[in-house]
Amino acid sequence: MTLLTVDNLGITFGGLVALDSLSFTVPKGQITAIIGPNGAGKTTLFNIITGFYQAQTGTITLHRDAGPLVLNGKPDYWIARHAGIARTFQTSRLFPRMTALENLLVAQHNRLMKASFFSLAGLAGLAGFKKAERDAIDKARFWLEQVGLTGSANVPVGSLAYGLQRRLEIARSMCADPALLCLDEPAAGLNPKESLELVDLLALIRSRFGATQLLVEHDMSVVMGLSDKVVVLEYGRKIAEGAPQQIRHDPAVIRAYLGEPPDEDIPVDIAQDLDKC
Amino acid sequence: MSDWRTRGKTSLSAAVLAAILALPILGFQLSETGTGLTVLARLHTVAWVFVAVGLGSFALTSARAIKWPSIALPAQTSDRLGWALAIFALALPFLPFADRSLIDKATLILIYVMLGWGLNVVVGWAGLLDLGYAGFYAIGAYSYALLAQAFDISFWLCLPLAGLFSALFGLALGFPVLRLRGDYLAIVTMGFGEIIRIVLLNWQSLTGGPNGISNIARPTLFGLTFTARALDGGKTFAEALGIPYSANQRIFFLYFLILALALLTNFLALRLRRLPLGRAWEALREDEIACRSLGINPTNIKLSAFAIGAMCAGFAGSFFATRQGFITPESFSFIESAVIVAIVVLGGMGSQVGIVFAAIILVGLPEWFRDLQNYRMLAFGLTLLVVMIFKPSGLVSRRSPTIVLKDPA
Repeated sequence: MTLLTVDNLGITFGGLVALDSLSFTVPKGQITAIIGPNGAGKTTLFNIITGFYQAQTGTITLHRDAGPLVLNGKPDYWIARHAGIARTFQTSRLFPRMTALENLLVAQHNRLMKASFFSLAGLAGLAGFKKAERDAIDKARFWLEQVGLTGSANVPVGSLAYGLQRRLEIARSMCADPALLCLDEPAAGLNPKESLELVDLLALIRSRFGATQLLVEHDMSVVMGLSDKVVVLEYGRKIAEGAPQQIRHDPAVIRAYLGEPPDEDIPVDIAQDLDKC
Repeated sequence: MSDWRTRGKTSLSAAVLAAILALPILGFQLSETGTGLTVLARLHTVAWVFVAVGLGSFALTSARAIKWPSIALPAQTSDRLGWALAIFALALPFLPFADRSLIDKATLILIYVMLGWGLNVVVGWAGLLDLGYAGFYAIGAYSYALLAQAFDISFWLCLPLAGLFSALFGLALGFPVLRLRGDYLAIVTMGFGEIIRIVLLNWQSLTGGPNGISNIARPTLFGLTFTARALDGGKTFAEALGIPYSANQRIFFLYFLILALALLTNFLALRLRRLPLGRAWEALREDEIACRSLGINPTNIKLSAFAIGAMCAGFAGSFFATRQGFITPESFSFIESAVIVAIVVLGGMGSQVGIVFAAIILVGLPEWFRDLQNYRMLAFGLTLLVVMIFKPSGLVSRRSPTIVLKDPA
């Protein structure tokens, strides 16, 4: 079952071809990782899927129960709201002066806005809005528990440790009940222990909430341990796609990461390292 | 900075620099002698500047060297302070020292408090630097004046209409500038504020141009007027209560009117802040890209902030028109916008209580120093400087959360 189809996607910035006729699918309820060397176009791909950039060629289609939805040409907030695609950023983009609870409530803005009848019912303090607000707080509390931040609920998030901020950003995306969660290097800047906790959290999101995840990541231990499918990019092109086991031994991938071997095979020690991860 | 020697050196160099600058500017005076002009040396003024700047700089650096106790108010105290201020404002006219001029000054301060609270929604919460706020203030004032004159509508019906009209203008002017942020937004809004003033100045047939509009209808209380004699068939306030007429009654009525309007603005703003809309304003100020990624349409959120801010300015403008009885475009120049922005920034960008204190300092103090005439604005500048040096993030810079998780642990 496919949730997202990316077909023949292309974008250039000036003379630079950032993505070139890229096609792949994202299976529903699974974790798909996008890997590739720096500058391969991973974040550009994310920005196109979430509507922050517009693709010059190709289509992105979301397969919902209600029928397929083409995302091309839609603004970013529309995609987040109507297609249910949430994202996190390479460097966390929380609302630093607001508390953790407020951050998670802003993620539920559209639902609450409707419940408050564009603030009118909220101003009048009607029961319907109060109930919706209680539900939203309960949901926020639930996700704070999942990321272990309940104790910091009333603390401005700018004062939290970096690792906690990254977890909170994932919690905030989940508060929007996304159909697809796009994580841009969630393990960047985390220590090994925090990385392990992150893997557990993402695995939990997959198993318990069935959320489909698209993951850009450099940390191979996270990618190999977690993903069901890996797509490898190099210079904006897909060079491999498949299960992590296949990718690990794909010669094109090894070449992309390590360069062309001079004459002989890969040096033994590097081959061993590759097998380890 | 810490020991007195370096402070002395700093002060000395500041004094020398000031004296060098003062020499060509203040050191000479042209005076008429018969048919010609002679240059008089006024070197004593330069000496005064030297001494004043030297001592001032030394006092300032010394004051900064001292570790002042921080006066960060906890959220609860800030709330209580707000209530205490509101009760004080209600009781003020009944206090023994409250005379006509005091109430008049308090009314003026309250106009600026209300404008500050309105602009705070735009600048303090939504983070959109609006330097053309006086434009909406003008639209409110002219709407009231023109509606009241043309259709003979009462103040109480005009008030919401003027607010609505200003809000519509806020939407119309907000729309084209939404893509801009920061400095660019400030420049464009400043331009809009000036455009409004210049249109009012030149649209002679409608607004009376530089002559303005006079004889604007005074407000009534349930049809009771505050004049010495009742107009055709009506009743005056004094007659209805069976008390002798006094001009103070109108002054006091205006005071309570603006107090009620200001408190209503405050109530509306604080209430909105705790709703999803208010949180979206603040989230937008913090990070617009994150807002987009969460499905928030920034256009709607910004426009709502603009419109609500403009509406408050419209209410304040109507009140201004009815209080003065006479308005000209002169009253809505850029300096008005600048003062209101200064009040919001000085108050602490987002703090309602801070804005009250800032308005008292920035509007009240110059009023009390009116006797100093031309040096009045010097007091204004000095206050700004002192606050910027000692409280760079505003008088009350602490942000209180819009919602609290009751049992977090």
